[in-house]
Order: sequence, then structure tokens, then C-alpha cells
Amino acid sequence: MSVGLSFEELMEYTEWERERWRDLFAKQGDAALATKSGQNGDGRFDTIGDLIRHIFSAETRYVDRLIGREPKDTASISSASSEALFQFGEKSRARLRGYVQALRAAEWDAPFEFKMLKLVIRATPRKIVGHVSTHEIRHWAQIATMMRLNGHKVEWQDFLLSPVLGGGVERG
Amino acid sequence: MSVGLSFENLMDYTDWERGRWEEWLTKLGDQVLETKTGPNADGRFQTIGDVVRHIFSAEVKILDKMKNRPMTDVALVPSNSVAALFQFGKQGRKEMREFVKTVSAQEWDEPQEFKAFKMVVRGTRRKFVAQALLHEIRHWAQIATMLRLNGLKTDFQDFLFSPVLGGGVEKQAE
Repeated sequence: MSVGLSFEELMEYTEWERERWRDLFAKQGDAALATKSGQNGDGRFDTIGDLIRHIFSAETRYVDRLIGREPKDTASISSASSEALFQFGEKSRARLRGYVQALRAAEWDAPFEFKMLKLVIRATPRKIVGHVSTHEIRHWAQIATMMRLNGHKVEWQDFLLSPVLGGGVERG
Repeated sequence: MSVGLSFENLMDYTDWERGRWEEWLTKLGDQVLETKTGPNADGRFQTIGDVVRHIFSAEVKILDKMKNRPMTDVALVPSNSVAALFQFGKQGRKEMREFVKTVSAQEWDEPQEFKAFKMVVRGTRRKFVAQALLHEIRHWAQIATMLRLNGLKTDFQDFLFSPVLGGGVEKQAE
């Protein structure tokens, strides 16, 4: 593959993001998870906690599909407890990492098909894992906006500020 | 490098996102760019148009730094014109694609350093290009949220639904 980011690097980045969010919710308390996601949503996610569960659920359920299992029902995981949510996230990440490490080179670009809601989706494992990574990055960014709009201070979570690929930022 | 997403993949994805945004914002008209970003911000971006300009500016400024040339004055790009903003974005993207093609394998991981605001930033070319692309993905998602909160709902823009790496989505037969 030409230059870019490996899935390991993308996982490192989102794990760094997760740790920052986990710290923030530990400091602010579970009440912050009840922050509303705001109006005009599609009804799936009423709170920030729901959206965090959705991030980890997506990771879990895509791995389920890729290994031929029935996607797990994640509704029983409390979206009101940061500890329950981030522990769920740790488990889903361990499974994704295991999947990425185990898949053989020839399998990454093999066609794959699954049903989701009323859709038939065709994609390779590479596309699905790419989707899981960018899906998480997008939703954390949206959570940052919703938290900001509700008066919570959130630090920058740019890739540049992360430890992935080294480097660093200092006051000059 | 082990399996992942190439910069070409990430540029194809963000180009697809840009195309959808340009089409939709053009339909809505320039006034949609005046939508406010809402309270508690750091004061840099008052409107959605300012955030769109910031996306494209970040890409150009990273190129400025990596090419050791004077910083582009992005304030000259109007943030209240869809056409002007996306034209600016296309210029930056064209240059980024050329840059990615010309950097040698060895140069990607060489240490670089530059000053931005009151910061000293250290990283490699690979890290800076990755920053530009992931930064864009994050900000489009935030723009979608801000517009949704203002009653303007966008279509899904997930990587899975993009044409990158093939595949497709069809409605299941009833």
C-alpha cells in the first residue's frame, strides 16, 4: 500500500481520544453523559451517552458481521455510566485489534456482503475497518461540538496533538 | 506499511465529502454559510462559512510549512461564498495530491519543525498530511451537527457509503 495510516495507527489515535474523553467524564461525572444531542436528530441518540454507546456498538457489530456472527444487541449497556461505556469500548477495541492482526493479506480486499436495517451493503474488510475508524473519529468530533454548545470545555483532539507517529507541540 | 488507508484513499473520501457539501450548500444558497457556530467557541469561527474556510486553509497552510514558503493569506478568501470557498478548496487539494505523489519514501518520516501561533510543532511529513486529512473529516462532521441543530439535515457521509475502495449500498427488496 502507498503511504498513509495503518489501522494500527488509526486505532492508536482513537484510543488516545477515548482516554481523553474517559478522563473528562471521570472528572465531570456521569451527569455529563445526559447532555442532550439536540434537536432535529433521527431519534436514535437522545444523549451524548447514547452516542458514545453507538461508537462502541458499531465497532462491536461490524466485527461480529465480519467474523460471521449475529451482531450483538448492545441496548443493555448503560449509556448513563461512563465506566460501563468505556469498559465496553475496551472490549470492542480488543476484538477489533484481534481481527485486524489475524486477517491474512489476501483477505483484506475480498468482497463481503451483509444486511443492515433495510440495506444490502457490499464492502471489503478493508473498507469496513476503514469505516469503523473514521466513524469513530467523526462522532467524537460531533460530541465535542455538542459538549461545547452545552458549556463544557473540551480540549483539542487533533491527530497532530496525539502521540501517534511521534512529534509534539510545545509553547514557543 | 501494514494494512490501512492510504492518503490517496483519505483524499478520495474527503473529495467525495466535499462534492456532496458543495452540491448541497450551492442548493441552499450562500446565506447558509452565515449559520452561526453557536456559543462557547474560542472566537475563531463565527459562522459555518468560517469553518469551511478553516478546513481548506489548514490544508494549504500545512503545504506552506512543508514547502518552506510564506504563509498564504487565507483571510482574502470570502467565507460567505460557496463558489469561492470550494474553488479555494480545489486549489489546495490539487496541490496536496501533487505533494503526496512527489515526497520520497525516506522523506515521509523525516522530522520537521515549525512555529504556529505561539507553539513549536514537531512531526513528520506523514503526520502533518494525516493531520490535514483527519482534521477535515472531523470538521465536516461538526458542520453536519451544527446545521442539523439549525434544522438542516444532511445525508449520511460515512466512509462506508462513499465510493472509496468500491462496494455499494442498495435498498433491500421488500
